[in-house]
Amino acid sequence: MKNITESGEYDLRFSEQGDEHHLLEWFKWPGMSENFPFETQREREIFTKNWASFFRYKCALTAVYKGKVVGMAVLFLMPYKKVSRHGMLYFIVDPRVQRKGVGSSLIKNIIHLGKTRFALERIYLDVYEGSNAKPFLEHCGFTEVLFQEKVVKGANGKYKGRHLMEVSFI
Amino acid sequence: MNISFRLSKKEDGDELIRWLDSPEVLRNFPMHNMYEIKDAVNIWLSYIQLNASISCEVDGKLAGMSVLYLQLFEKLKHQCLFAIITSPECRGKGVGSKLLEYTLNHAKETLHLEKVHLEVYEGNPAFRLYERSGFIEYGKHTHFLKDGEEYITKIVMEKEL
Repeated sequence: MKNITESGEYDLRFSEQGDEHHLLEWFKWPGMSENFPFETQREREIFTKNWASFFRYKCALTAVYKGKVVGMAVLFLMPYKKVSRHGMLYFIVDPRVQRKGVGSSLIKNIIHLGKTRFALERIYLDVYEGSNAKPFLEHCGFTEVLFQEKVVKGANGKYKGRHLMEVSFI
Repeated sequence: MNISFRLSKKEDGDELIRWLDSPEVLRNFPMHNMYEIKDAVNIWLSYIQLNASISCEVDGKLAGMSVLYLQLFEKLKHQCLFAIITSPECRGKGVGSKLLEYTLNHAKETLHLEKVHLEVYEGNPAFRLYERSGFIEYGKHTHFLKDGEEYITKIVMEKEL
């Protein structure tokens, strides 16, 4: 089956304590750090902790297929009133289950959650230069707001920029 | 005017709160009330231990502060966001310009940063100071702040050191 999200064995639920070990496991996959700010194990742990700190606000979703966790998405909510209608999105799909509709399902549903539960007016995310996530996100309705050069500096000394992309409801 | 610079101290925080606590100043920041101001000041002061906050004194009195929000993650560490503010008494006297120059030099020579970037909200006169100091606008995020019913655009600028 190509798109597993149409299966009766696929479901989404709010993320809960205990889900974070999946993040840590997926973050270690080769190439995964190309799409995230971390590089070392310590950095992966910090990033995971930040992500999991939003579970209690019910702004994070976990995708489950055949009883196994296969993807997660989170909205980092902003703590100040003047930016409280913004959410910063991160998402990840189990590398063994990619291109089967899980990413689209997570994004579609987290956008809906942001709009309806948190009255968000915009949801944005950073995409590093060269990432194959950009066309996928455009397909999901995100448009580029700006591009900043040389945001990331790899161990090889090479720089990459970042695209700030968003969906806006205003 | 006798101007001097030093690394910030925790005690500078009270003045920083006083400077931020005015509607005209807050228009240029994402904070909304005293609770948010204190939270933002606490974050600012946490960079003291990294030698990343600079205070400026004019005739022995605190006149301005800046902070370089150093990045935690290795591959982002060559660049960072920064913020700057001057006391209401010292605005329009060139203090901000001198503090900015000192901060950029500190960023390059002491903290070994390669570039810094900043966020300035549309209508903030500091935009011209940043332009004069060599910052280049690399984008705009429209409708960024929502202050009551008013939306304010965020302009982002950067400078290679």
